Amino acid sequence: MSEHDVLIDEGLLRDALQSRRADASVFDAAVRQRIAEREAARTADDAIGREPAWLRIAAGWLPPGLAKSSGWKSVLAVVAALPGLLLVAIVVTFLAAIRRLRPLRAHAVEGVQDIWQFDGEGRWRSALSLAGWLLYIALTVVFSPDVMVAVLLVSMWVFLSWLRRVDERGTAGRIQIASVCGLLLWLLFAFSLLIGFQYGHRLLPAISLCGVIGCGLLGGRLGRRSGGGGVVIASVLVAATWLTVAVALTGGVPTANDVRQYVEGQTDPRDADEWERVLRAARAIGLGPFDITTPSQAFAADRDSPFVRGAAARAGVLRDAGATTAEARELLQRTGPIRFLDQRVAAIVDLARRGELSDGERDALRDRLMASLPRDGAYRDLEAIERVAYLLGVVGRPDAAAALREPALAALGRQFVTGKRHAAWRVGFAAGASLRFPDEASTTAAVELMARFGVPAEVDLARLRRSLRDVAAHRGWFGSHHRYAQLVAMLTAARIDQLWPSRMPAWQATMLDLRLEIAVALFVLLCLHATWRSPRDVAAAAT
Amino acid sequence: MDLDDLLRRFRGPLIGLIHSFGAPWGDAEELAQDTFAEAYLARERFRGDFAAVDQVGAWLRGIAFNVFSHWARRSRRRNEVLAESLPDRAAPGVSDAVDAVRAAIDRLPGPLRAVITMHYLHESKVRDVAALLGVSEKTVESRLYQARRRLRELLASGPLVTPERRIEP
Repeated sequence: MSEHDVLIDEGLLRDALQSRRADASVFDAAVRQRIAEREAARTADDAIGREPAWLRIAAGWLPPGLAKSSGWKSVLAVVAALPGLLLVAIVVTFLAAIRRLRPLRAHAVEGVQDIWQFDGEGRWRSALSLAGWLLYIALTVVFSPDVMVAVLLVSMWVFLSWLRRVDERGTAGRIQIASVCGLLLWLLFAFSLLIGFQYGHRLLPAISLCGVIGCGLLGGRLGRRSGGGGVVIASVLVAATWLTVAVALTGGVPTANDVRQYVEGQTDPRDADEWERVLRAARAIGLGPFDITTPSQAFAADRDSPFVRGAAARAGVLRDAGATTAEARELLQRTGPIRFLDQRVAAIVDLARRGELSDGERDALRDRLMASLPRDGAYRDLEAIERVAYLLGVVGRPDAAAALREPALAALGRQFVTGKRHAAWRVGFAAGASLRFPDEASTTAAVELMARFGVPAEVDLARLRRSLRDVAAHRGWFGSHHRYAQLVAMLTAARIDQLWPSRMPAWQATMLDLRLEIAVALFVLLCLHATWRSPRDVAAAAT
Repeated sequence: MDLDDLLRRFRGPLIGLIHSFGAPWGDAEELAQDTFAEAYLARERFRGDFAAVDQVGAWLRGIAFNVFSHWARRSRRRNEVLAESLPDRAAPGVSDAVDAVRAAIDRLPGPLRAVITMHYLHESKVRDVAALLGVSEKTVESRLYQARRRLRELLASGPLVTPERRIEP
């Protein structure tokens, strides 16, 4: 009996496994790309990676530039712990105040004017005015949630001291206390409107407005006087509307299942570019596998469009993107920059995947890709640089991407826009140097470039992360593009978490994210509590 | 460590090994890329001799298993079917015989399936397959023989259907 009678033919085995065989050049290029990306991420983490865990947790709340600077360690702990310390301080102050604030005494003194001028020197009026000015300065000049929390903490102490003095003098009537509290909270409401729109703290106006209305109702200033009912109704309507909008806007954080539905259900080739970006971002954080049969069929029907073919090829949807002989010849035989590189992605991917490129042709493509880098400040340059880096990996020359580091870091620093720099509350990367608003495509490209080349000092990852989460929390009102923006923001925030984890438990991170809202809510509660504990009728209390 | 040499030697066997762990082909390729990248970045922690293929193979196998376990845990958490994320390059219909061989390979016991895929996927040397599996070359040759004989028997027994592979939650 021969070998062939008992054993399967080796040729048949080779044929069966032939189609499973990985393209060696594409495989090796992908390995090198992974190495380059992880080395870049490791470099970014090195500055804090060797420090103890507690210090790394603290450093997670610092801008990366500060964390990397020399001589920072001694001040790092104090500075980095400041948000948490301030939050703890204001909570402790509030609890102590609630515990110690006994029912206030009152004499037969009427009118707000009396309690403002009880000591004749106007010290308390000056102190409260100072707190107001501090608040104003904090908002307009050096706004940050921590400065605001610090100002609120100081204001709380000043307010408590004033209450104690009022109590000692027996000038604490409910109307008087409610008037002062209402005035303070009204100012806070006005400031909160500014912060809410400009910096994304949208719940602050609602919280402070609730305080104003609460003080008005407790003090009897609203609803009793003629026409007061209208004020109450109007205020309640404003508050209710605001709360409804805030809740509606913050109730739609997408889930992994939403990502799956979007990725697997895409049928419009016009959205191929956006779809590919979502798919890439989802794969980057480890979501998937996805069943992309439906988009594959939809895109195959519109494969004449170079943009659709480019998106599909990059997503791995079209194995044969159909690079024509003329396209291949043009790419391989010409020199200099590749014109309209964004339309040639499919052709280059296709050429590389065929596995027929010689070393010389790979080098030629590398040179052409490097020559295709956009000029400084060009429109959509972050996307263009990221595309060149990706294609260098595709053609098997990922090491050449190291030369992109300088232009990438310059573009990242130049195009990082924040609410402080521009009159927008969103934080991210703009599509051009002169543009004011962040753009989803540029922001996702920027995060991938930072993963590869490190985070420039100008970029505040904590604010970027928070802003992306805020965008992700918006419920979509305007169709598929809004849904795309929401999904890509969520996935990009998750990618940032993955690349630069804050190493902090989720509840602590949430508390610190919401520290300003918590501080304002505590201040409002203290005002309401003080009003409630004051005697309703000054004359009756005095007798 | 010479990355090119490592890739040339172990590219095929490693994809086959990870596939034999339970990853679909598309994912096995990605996980193999992750494994090589992790190995290269962790090369300073390797305590053996890079010239000794068996030591390098054992080290690579450990990293591959960790990478696969991490991926499998994530997949299990999502309770997902291990479907191919990319369209399978193994387009059906090349020939009935080839389809039948693929189905028969999927029916092989784990150790036999592993050596078949590791050896024939990229025409790798028995020595490299043995190093990656942590067994002797004789053992690999023996398993290859048994696998080929078993495949012959399976094909002779009639039409086969490829079983669906799934990670249980």
